[in-house]
Formats: sequence, C-alpha cells, structure tokens
Amino acid sequence: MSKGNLIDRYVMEVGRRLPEKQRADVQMELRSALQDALEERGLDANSEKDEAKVVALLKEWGKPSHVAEGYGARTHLIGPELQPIYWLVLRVNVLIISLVQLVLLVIAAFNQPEFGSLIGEAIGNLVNSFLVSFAVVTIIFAVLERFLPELKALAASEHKGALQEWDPRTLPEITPDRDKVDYVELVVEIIFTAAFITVINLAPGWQFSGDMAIVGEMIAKFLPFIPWITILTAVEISLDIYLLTQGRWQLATRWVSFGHAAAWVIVVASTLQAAPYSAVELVDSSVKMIIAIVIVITLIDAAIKLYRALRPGVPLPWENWRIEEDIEEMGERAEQFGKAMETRFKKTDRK
Amino acid sequence: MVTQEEYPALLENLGLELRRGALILAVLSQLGKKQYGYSLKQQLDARGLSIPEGTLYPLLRRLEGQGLLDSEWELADEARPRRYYKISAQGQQVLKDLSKEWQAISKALSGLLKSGGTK
Repeated sequence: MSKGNLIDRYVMEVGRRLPEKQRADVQMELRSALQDALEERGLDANSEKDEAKVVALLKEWGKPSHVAEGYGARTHLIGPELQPIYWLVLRVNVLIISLVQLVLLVIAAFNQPEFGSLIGEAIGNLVNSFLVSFAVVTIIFAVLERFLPELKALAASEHKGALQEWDPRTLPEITPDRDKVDYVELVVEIIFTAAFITVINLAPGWQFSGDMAIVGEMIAKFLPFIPWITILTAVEISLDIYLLTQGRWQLATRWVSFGHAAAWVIVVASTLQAAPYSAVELVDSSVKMIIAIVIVITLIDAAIKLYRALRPGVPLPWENWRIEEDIEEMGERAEQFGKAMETRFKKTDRK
Repeated sequence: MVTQEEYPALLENLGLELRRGALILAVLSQLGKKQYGYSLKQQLDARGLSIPEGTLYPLLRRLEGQGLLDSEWELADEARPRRYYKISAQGQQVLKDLSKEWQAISKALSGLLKSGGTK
C-alpha cells in the first residue's frame, strides 16, 4: 500500500497546518514548485536511490511548521511551540485533581454511609474541576501565545530539537498515528461515563407508580448488575485518565482496554439471565432485543480492541481506505485543475 | 548557550531574520516581468542572494495579499499548473520608496559597523 512519497508527505504536512480555505491552493503551488525543483535536479521522488537527494532538497526548503507559518498559519489558539508545555500542564492538572478527589472520597466514605450518592457527588466535582482547570489553563496559554512572544521564543529554544537540524525522513507517513491518544475523545468519554455511572447508581432510589410501575419492575431486574457496571465504568475512567497522562497507547493499555471491552460483553450477556423482564410480552421482547443489539455492539468493540492489541500499528481496513482516499483526492484536485486550465487556454487561443 | 552542533542552525536563523526585510526588496526588484516561484529563485541564486524556497513562496503570497504583486495560474506543460507573479502598480511605488529607505539604512549601518569598537 502506498503511504505517499516524501513529497506527498511534505505537502500534506504543510497543508495540515493551514486554514482550510487556502489549503488546497497552497498545496497545489507547493507541489508544483517542488516538482520544478525535482526536475531541475533530475530526481524522482518515488525512486529509492534518489531518497538522500530528495531529503536534502526538503531540508533546504525548510521545516513544514516554518513553511506553514510563513503562509500565515496562525489559526492555533496555542501555537506549536507552546503546545508540548500546554499538554504537560493539562496532564499534571488532571492527575492532581483526580488524586485530590480520590482522597476526599475516601475520607468522606468513612464518615458517611451512603456511598452511592457520595460517588455521584465526587464525580460531579471531578467533572467540574476538570472543566474549570481546562478552561483556566487554556486561557492562560492563549494569553501567553498572544502577548508574550519572548517567552514563546524561550520555550521554542528549550523545546528539544528546535535548533537542531530537521530530518525530512521523520515526516509522518500519510496515515493516522494510531498510538496517539485522542484527547477530545477521552475527555468526552470521561464526562459521559461519569454521567452514566451517576445516573445508574441513582436508579435504586427511583419511584414509579401507576402506569409507570412496569418500568420500575423492569429496572428492578437490572439492579443486581449495578455494582458490576459501576466497576467497569470506574475501570474505564481510570484507563482514560491514565491515557491522558501518557498521551500514547502502549501494549499494556491496549490489553487492558480489550479486557475491559470483553468484560462488558460478559456483563451485558449475563443480564439475559434476569429475563423475563416484564409480565407484559411486548416490553419483555423489546428489552431482549435491545440487549441483543448491545451485545453485538460490545462484541464488535471488543474485536476491534483485540485486533489493536494483537497487531499494534497495523491499520484497520477502513482506516487504509481513508488514507488512500486522501492521497487520491489530492491527485484528483490537481488533475481537475489542470483540465480546467487547459480548456481556459484553448478558449483564449481561439480568440 | 548553544552547543557547537547547534551553532550553524542558530546562525542560519539569525541570518534569515536579518535578510527578511531585504528579501522583499529583492523579490519586488526582479518581478518587472512575470515569473513563477522557481524561476525567480534561480534568478536570485544566480545574483548571489539565495532564499530557501520555504521562505520565498510564502513571501510571494503575502506580497500578493498586500496588493504588491499580481498572480495568475498558467499551465506549464501537460497538467502542471504554475503560478506566475508580477509586480503591481502599487508594488512599483513601494519598491521605489523602500529602495530609498534601504540606501539610507545601508549607509548608516556601514558607518556603525566601522566605528563598532570605539566609544
């Protein structure tokens, strides 16, 4: 499978940092210019024996981040130089807040018997603290980015490798980095999981009367599973927080993630033992159907996680399609443009 | 302090900074007739002023954005489009005024550098 030659990767990397509306145009000019340079030196970007010379050419051209900056890439709230420090501060924050909340929870647990509502409260606090600290840290860094260019320069020179030579061979391949964690996804997952665990643990207290009594009966069937579900969500939140602090997936976390997904399949499947869920036939069969669907979803999730644990770094089939589509799309755009130009020139020739 | 290995990169960065303003003049002066980026680079190279492409191309765009250059896409050969740049009327005015500025700086600076050590 083609992962793009150095030129493709370079053009992609520069474009990635530019605002959407000028990206295609700049990428096209950049590609055209690079082709001029290759031709001039009689190089072929796809030939292995020319690799060293192509590398030298790209080095002369400059680091993608510099080139993109020259094109006015300043869409970052927090620029590339401050980003490593920004993430570090955020991670440390998450870690400290989690520890503090955990300690508070343990202390409170000794003084108060109602553990369920305690957990709910603690998670509420945790989410609040995360959001507030995220906002505060982001605002501080955004201000630094705008008003303290000197500090930025300092951070850049301190950031390892800023002054060292740049090696085009380290350009990322045109493929998503599957070991890098997705921060947004993790934070969203933590918030929703926390909300879910809170709601679930409040369920025993719900009162249903009249027509709604069947709902109460149905929910009662699931009450025995709540501790298991709570444990599983707690594992999930812990794993997510750990991943936030690490920034990357490792083999161990991949396996924990798979184990967690597999445990979900077992817990969901074992809720089938509680059937029948209702004296009303329709309610009973709908609940069973929903559980069946959830089992299928959790099975697929577990299978994907098993695949990632067994074959780290190997893309899933649909991820490959996306990369190929990206490369194809770039090529197609250039072609379309070429054709449009041709017809335009033919027209002007005729005049 | 920078280490010995880092020094060349530091020097290069400082050099780039020093030349940044001068490059605008150099580019404007060479675009009396339309040229695409690479041919412009070759021409500047030949005259002893080499600009990394990664600096030149964004600069061309910026100058165009400021109305100092005009540009249009043209089809070179087969399906390879190239962007050609040419100085605009406003660019010519800027070139004239900036050239004066440059002469003044250059004169002042050579005086300063000569008397560098004396107090």
